[in-house]
Amino acid sequence: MNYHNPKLHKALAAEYVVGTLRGPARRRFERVLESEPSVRAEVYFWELCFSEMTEAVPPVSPPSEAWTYLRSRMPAARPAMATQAPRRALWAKSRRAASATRLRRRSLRILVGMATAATLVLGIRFAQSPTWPVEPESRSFGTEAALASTEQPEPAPMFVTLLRVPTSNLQWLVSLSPDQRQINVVAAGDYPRLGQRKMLLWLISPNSDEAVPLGELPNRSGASVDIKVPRALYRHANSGFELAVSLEPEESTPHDLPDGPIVTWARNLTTQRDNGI
Amino acid sequence: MPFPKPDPDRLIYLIERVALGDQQAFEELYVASSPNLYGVLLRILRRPEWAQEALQDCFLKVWQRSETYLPERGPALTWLLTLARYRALDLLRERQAEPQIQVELSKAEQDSPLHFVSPELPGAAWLSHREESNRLSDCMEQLRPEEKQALLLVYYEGYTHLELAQLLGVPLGTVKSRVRRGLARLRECLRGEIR
Repeated sequence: MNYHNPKLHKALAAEYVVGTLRGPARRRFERVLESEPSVRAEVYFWELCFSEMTEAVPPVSPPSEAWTYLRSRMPAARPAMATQAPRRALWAKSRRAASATRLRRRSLRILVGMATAATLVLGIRFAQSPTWPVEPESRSFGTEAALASTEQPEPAPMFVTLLRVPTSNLQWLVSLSPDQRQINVVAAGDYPRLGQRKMLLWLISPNSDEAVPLGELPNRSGASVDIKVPRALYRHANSGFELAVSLEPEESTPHDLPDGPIVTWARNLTTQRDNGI
Repeated sequence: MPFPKPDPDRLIYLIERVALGDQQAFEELYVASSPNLYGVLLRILRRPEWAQEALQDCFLKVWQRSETYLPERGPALTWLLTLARYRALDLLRERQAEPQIQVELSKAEQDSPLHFVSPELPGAAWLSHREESNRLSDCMEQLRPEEKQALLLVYYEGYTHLELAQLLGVPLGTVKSRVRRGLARLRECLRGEIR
């Protein structure tokens, strides 16, 4: 593979950072990184860009034993790097007043400048997607989006969230149909034997404690179900709401609240009316 | 429980001290940043025992190779989180062949009242931060929905192309092109904004 091709190294650098470059290809790319400054610059660029997403992940306290195990794995001493530290200390001292944001932006400018410029001419379409439905009646089919692009976006389901059962690979991908009238749920993962039980999807409003059963979830990998968007959802759409999955007896009829345990949930789902297409 | 955001300058100072073999600084660095790293590791690896192992690996690398951090590349937390993500991806690759543990809900879990066991999930977590609008999220909004979805799932969840194709029920080539096109559009947008 010709790693001197600027287009290729841009593409590989991005895929390396997001994680889709795997296996031997990843190892080969890491060897190239060691010898190609322009490729390294491209990788740094992406790492900085995506760091905003990584930093948005809520922190979680590790168990206290993690530190104990770490200490037991640590060598008694490390070789001191006296030649590197003073340079960094001087650099850090000079930028004490700079905020982390400014540092990130400055770093990005430097990295963009370092990266070789093989401009990709792309027709960028500005298709925006709401994260949750606005009521179909209130939708305005924007002419602005059409003016921003000569290419008409194809209707596509809108990603809402991924409901995942912790410590398993059991999960449901929740999306919204282009006309915002149907919720589509696709199951993936290895399912446990549920016996005489079923998984139910709930809409929960944290403000009013109201729970609305949306329907039974598929329990076979690859199976999907379409659920009609209930009007209750539009009512809560602006104030933020949650989706939850409960485990219920097979024969039970959903009432006001889940009877069984909640096995997973997604919260902070909001309507982005301003982004309505 | 809210966590204070680590002080960027303090982290740089601590990493400098660790490079000189200062164990106290190492411990302070761990206390200040390990919740951020562990949160990301849990998100990608899903199994607490793997996340713990990866967390230890990351900090061992910090202890042994902290001089590889260069402040001009960006904030120290970014460097630490990048280390964590890459370690998680490596661990996933190493463990891919191992059988998955299936969920078996215990009797106690089945009988418990309304009990929320999962913290915020990736999509929701990211979307909830949209109001703190920044450059990346602005550019993400300009992607096609299917491209944004693909990028969020590969970045946040550690999906491979193949896994994503299976999850979405679309051909492998379609997933690859969504990721590739999404990244290309994102790059153009980001380059435009930081000039």
